[in-house]
Amino acid sequence: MNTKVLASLLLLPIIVLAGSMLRLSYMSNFEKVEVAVQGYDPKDFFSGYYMYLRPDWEKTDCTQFADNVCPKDDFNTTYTFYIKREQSEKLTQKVNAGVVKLQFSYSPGFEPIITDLFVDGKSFMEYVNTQK
Amino acid sequence: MVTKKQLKAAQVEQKSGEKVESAAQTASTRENYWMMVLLYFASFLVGLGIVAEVAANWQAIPNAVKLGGALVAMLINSGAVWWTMKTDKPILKQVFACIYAFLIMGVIGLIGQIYHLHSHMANACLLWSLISWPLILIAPRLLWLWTPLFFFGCRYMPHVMDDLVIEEVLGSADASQQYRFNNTILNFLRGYLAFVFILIYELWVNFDKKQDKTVINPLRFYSGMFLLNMYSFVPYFARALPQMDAQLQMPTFFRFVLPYVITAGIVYFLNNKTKRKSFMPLFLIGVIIQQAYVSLSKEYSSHSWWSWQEINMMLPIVFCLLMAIYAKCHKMPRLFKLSVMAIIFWFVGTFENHIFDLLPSLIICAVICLLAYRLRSRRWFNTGVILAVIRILCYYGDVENLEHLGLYLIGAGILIIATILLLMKYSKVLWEKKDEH
Repeated sequence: MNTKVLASLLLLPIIVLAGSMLRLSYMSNFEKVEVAVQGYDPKDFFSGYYMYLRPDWEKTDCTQFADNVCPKDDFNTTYTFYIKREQSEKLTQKVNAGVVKLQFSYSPGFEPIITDLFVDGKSFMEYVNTQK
Repeated sequence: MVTKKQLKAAQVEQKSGEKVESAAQTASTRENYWMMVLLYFASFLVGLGIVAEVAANWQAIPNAVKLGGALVAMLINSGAVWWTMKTDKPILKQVFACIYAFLIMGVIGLIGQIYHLHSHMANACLLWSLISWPLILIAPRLLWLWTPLFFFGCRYMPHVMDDLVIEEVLGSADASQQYRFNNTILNFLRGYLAFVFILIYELWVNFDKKQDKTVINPLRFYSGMFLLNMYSFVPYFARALPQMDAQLQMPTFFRFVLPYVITAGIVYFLNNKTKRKSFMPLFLIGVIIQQAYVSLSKEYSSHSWWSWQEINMMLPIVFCLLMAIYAKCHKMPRLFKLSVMAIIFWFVGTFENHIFDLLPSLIICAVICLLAYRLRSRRWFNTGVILAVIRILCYYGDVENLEHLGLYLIGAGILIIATILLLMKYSKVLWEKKDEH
């Protein structure tokens, strides 16, 4: 195959991944909703450290959604929140205490995208900074 | 006037000249082949380092900077591949292509991490294999990395079907017991599906005599790859085994080895009967890759019934030995040497990370180098040197922190690549001196 054609094909992953970044960044700018969660913390070398979190609809404030109804079907049964290893232990305690909420960018017809995690009402980075 | 004799003599001279040239080319290609195997290993380390760096989750860096940096790194890397293509540097081209393949994987992971995407790793592998296929056209050896990951991506389907079948058909009544029972049966079926594919393929080859020979080799390759990926179901199959522990009093090692050995036996028997080479080496190499994946994946290490050390230590050596025996019996010198090299690497590499264990392994490397020098085997001399470098790296490789591990792996990979390139360039002087003596 022509070298120039091959060289241009090298750009394929860059184009696809840049497109994916743009799409996700667009989807992250919808209206924000907060969903209460429960979960645990599995670890995997390939993905780094993350927490598996399940939406807890009984503890979620459904007034933030249209018609005051939680759109359970629009959300997955589990979500992944990536953290650092040293954060996992304390965060697990907080999740077990029921003071953790996931913030989603949500618009009906689109897949909800996690934009932040709230611990005791603080955003994740604020929480991390207070832990130092 | 030129006589017939003179003409013949000239032709003979020309032919012998061509032969010498082609022999020299073959020798250099062979040497490059071994070096290439090691270069791929080093590129693999660099790539793994990139993935580890991504996994380390650098929260302090803004997301836009991370994503922008990832795109810039990809552009630079693709530029490097293009430059090696343009300036005709085949070795560096493969190194950069391999690193690029891992970088794409790392960036997919990074996007998943930044947007907290909840998806099975198989989906990421499928996306990776779809967008990175041009690299195979540039560096065909990457097919060894691409094909398993592609099939790993595809294999997610049966898992999804599994859940659907159970939910739709069984409903909620007695679901937990029925789930376990059906899961066991399905996993059994998956495990044995590989046997069905082997038999279909073997029967087809045996009975269809009019086959186009040019089709058979690639077909074997893909069949071998397909089979080995079918065997990636074995961990799933193994998940069902704790329930059978009471009935099957068998050590973990045997339980894992047995399906592979039975499959290998069937393939060997059928091939031996028809006196032809098969995809057995691919199958065995695949099993080793598969086991390396299983060993690295912590998902399986959390099970109490998993005999961690047993699997980690024994499986690679068993399959390397099997591969060496197979290669020896079927007169495949290159594969035999590759297997022996893998056994030596395993032997030296699994020494404990202790200074007193480092010394004997370095002595073994020195002995390999000295013997190779006396026997004029450049290939083994180079192996000894690189083995010593890898052993020293293993000694310093006990890194707990993911950030440091990533940097360490990238550094180690670059060091090995540099050693190999230096060996390829400067070892000529050493061998010329030896020839003078």
